[in-house]
Amino acid sequence: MHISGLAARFRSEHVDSILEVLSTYDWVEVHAVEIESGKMVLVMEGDNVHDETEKLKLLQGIPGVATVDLVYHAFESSDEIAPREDNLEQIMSHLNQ
Amino acid sequence: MIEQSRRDFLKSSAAVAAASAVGLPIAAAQEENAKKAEAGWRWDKGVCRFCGTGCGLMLATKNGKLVASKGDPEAPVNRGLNCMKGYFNAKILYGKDRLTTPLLRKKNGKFDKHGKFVPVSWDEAFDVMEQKFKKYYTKKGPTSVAMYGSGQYTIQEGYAASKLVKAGWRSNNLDPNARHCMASAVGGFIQTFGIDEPSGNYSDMEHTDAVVTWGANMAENHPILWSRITARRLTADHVRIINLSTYTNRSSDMADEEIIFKPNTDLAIMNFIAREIIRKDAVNWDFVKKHCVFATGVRYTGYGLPSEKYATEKEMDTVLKEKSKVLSKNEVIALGLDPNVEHKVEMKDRKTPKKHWQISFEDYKKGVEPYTLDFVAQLSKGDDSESVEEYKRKLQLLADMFCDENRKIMSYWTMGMNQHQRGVWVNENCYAIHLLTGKHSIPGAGAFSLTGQPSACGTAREVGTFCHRLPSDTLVANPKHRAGAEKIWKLPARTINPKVGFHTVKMLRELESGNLNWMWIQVSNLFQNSANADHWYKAAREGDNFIVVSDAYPGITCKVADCILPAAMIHEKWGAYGNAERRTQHWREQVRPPGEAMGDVWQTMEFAKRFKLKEVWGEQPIPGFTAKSAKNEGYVDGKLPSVLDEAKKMGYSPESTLYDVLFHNKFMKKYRWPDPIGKGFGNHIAENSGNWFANKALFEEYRQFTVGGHDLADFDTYHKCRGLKWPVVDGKETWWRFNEKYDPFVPKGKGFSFYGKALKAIPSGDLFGVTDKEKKNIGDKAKIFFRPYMDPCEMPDKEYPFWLTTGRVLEHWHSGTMTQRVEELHRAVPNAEIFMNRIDAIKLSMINGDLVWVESRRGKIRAKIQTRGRNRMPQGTIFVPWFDESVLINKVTLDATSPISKETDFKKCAVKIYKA
Repeated sequence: MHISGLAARFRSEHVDSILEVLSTYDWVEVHAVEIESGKMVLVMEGDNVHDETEKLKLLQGIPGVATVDLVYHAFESSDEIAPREDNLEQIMSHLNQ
Repeated sequence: MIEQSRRDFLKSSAAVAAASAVGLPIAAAQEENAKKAEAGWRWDKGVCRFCGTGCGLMLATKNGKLVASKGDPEAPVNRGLNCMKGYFNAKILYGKDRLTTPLLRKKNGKFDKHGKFVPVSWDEAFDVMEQKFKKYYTKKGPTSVAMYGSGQYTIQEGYAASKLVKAGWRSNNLDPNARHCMASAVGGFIQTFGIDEPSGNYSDMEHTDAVVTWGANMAENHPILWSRITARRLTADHVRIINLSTYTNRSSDMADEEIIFKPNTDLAIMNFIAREIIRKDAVNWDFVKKHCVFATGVRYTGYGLPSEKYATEKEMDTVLKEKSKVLSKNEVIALGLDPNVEHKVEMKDRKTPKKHWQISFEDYKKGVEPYTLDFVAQLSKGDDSESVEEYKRKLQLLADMFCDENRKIMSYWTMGMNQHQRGVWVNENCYAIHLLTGKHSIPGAGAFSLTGQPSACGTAREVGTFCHRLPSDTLVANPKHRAGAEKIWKLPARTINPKVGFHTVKMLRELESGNLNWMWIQVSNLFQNSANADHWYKAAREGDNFIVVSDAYPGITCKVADCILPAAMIHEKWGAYGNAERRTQHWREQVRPPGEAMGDVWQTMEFAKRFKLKEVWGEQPIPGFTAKSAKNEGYVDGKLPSVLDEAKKMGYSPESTLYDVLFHNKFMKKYRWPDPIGKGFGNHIAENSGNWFANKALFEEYRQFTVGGHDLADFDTYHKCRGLKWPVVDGKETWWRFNEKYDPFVPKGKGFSFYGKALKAIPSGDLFGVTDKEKKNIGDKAKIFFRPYMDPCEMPDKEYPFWLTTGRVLEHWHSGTMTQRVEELHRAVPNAEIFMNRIDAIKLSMINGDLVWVESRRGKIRAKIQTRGRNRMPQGTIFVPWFDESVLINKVTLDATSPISKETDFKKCAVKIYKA
């Protein structure tokens, strides 16, 4: 399980449609919104880094959203961000092919 | 699966961090939960591993393993934000194919260039490296060996390599991949201001009234800086963003205007703006008269193309332009020549491309006169589907912004202007329009060269890892600079070789010609990032040479190597980077490197133990060196003198090792480990070097070079702050250089002072040459250059009808050795695609997703076409990113360079496209 805290900036006039899109995603929560300044705080869950980057790109593509930046990334129980087992055979076959 | 309450606590942590980064309030309960989530974690500051922005990170470790990261809320660069690459800083340490042991090609138990890689001990790897090194060095001298680095070197790594190569081996064959990235920017800075690197800083983004991006897709390549620009645009209605590019990219989404121009014509657009500034009487005469002179230089400088000797038949028609060419109609106009006769020109200025001289304002005005709106619009309009009228409107609007004395403007650029056959020229033209209007070195106004690598500035440029440089902008060719370095390094006089070494492209060409035989490549994927690559694979694998690569992952460069050394990555070692705004940032070792991987500082110093002074400081052959060029006594042609007698007088024994003389010497060895600044942290290099804190010692020695312009603070200071922008004088950093209000080196009452010392004494002349050879010193003035438009040396024609341009994409960084290893990402952008205009595809009877060949005079690659991607191409131009080693676009690209900077132009060559 990976958890990310995101900061978004958006054009204020689009706030309703943006929130509507967000409500259809069960992997993201809206934790704070300030309409006048066009700022929003989101928390997202993903299975791994790839899943997170794909979801981030989805959020960045929502009409009216100007930027979505990553702030916080927790991966303490991640299998992929952890030391590897012996991998020498795999490397040798790659290098010597 | 983690339990629900833990997950909720972590979510609270995430929410609290994100809210604080954008200044929104959050419930107190969340903050309580966040504290619980992070119990037992150790947070420490770090720096992002990727682009040149230099974002601050906070890293949490628990039981020796990274568990979380966040944008550093105290970092002035990114104020708590990270871009998508923030996800990879931890993950890149743990890729499945991480190298953890030295590997050597062997057959029958012995090294063999045609053998297979097998694991060996560090000792065995160093033994073979040493044996091969000495075989070539003894026979052919210092020019037969080289090291190669990058803008990803930590400051200490670059400094150690520079000292070993220049002071130890007396070779200047050290160059960084920053040559491919920043060299044209350096040339522009040195020629214009006499000193390297930008005058402003990132806070210009919050002060400016307009942002002009010149061929820099910041939205994808510098997202955090783009967020700052976006925030400025969204909160101030009068602010404008203009994106100039050869194709439509993501930066256009936020731009008020987008100008799509033909490759190389940025030179002409800038001259049009200069012409308008003069025509509309918008020159800031007070500024220009006090602080600037006008200048121009030689024109027929060639294109840095290779010798015909190694060119294939197909390559020949481009390569021959290095000798002579017939000027095109556009060039005749742009150069102010008689349009009624044919001009066949010899490239007579090839050997002296840097030559320039002062001219009058009247001559400057004459130079830009041909760059009318009509001429420049027809020359530069890059999108056939746009009307000339609309294009002209935009050019005029851009020029009018510069003419508006009340509008502060920031220009930003990266590879579009640097990877350019006239890269130094186009950097200079950009400064010209800022200097003419006085829009430079003040908050919110300036021309700002961004960098693509985390320490292109702090290491590659500043510590002297270029083949012509010594630390802090000093030069191997300058006798005073050599003497200065010899003093700090405690070397006998005349140890440093006065002859400039091989720059990147020349290194590869000399590998091919057999003059370079031993090469150690660190922190760089040289064989993926060099143009016209087929030549270099062949040279490396079939030539009489030995290639060592230190890396964390097995990229293409490892595959062509003979020996591979496993390197520690960021967060596994102590280090420091310097970003694009002159900010030096240090970090501590957070986790241990895996297996036998070791930091490059250790690797370089450990190898130095294998050289005795008598093996390197005796008389040495230097082919082509002339005593006259040393500008100092005590030299004869073709060789460096022995300095062993002098060394003895200084107390060195001929039996001393380079390790003892250059590194573990009297000054440096006093820095011991443990050190209070590292309490609670590891230090694998110190622990493997007899508890000697080499990373601190190297930095403390290096900063002695920086006094008087590049000044750095001491090592410990940087561990107590979020970086400082040099020059750091009396403990204070410098926000804007050359401006009296901010820069301590500007004398009071001066207003501005461009006090850089390089290239300030120049002759005078007119647009076409020197008329008065006497060199006059222009003092603390900057130069406003006139640099004309000229055609690129290879343009689309009947056989090769498309422009090819290359670059990065958001999810991958550089050659992908770090980001592409991450398997999921590999799936996301599985292979590099060919971005292409839909109408071009229809004309070739192709559709989105077709597998096609892209072929140039040099080579070909196969990939799928993409007509609907984020990069929307104008007709006639394709874009192929270069991250993917299975789509090696650099087999296709042209190894033409800026003749001044020797930086390759990866942005333009001619190709044909056909179905696979």
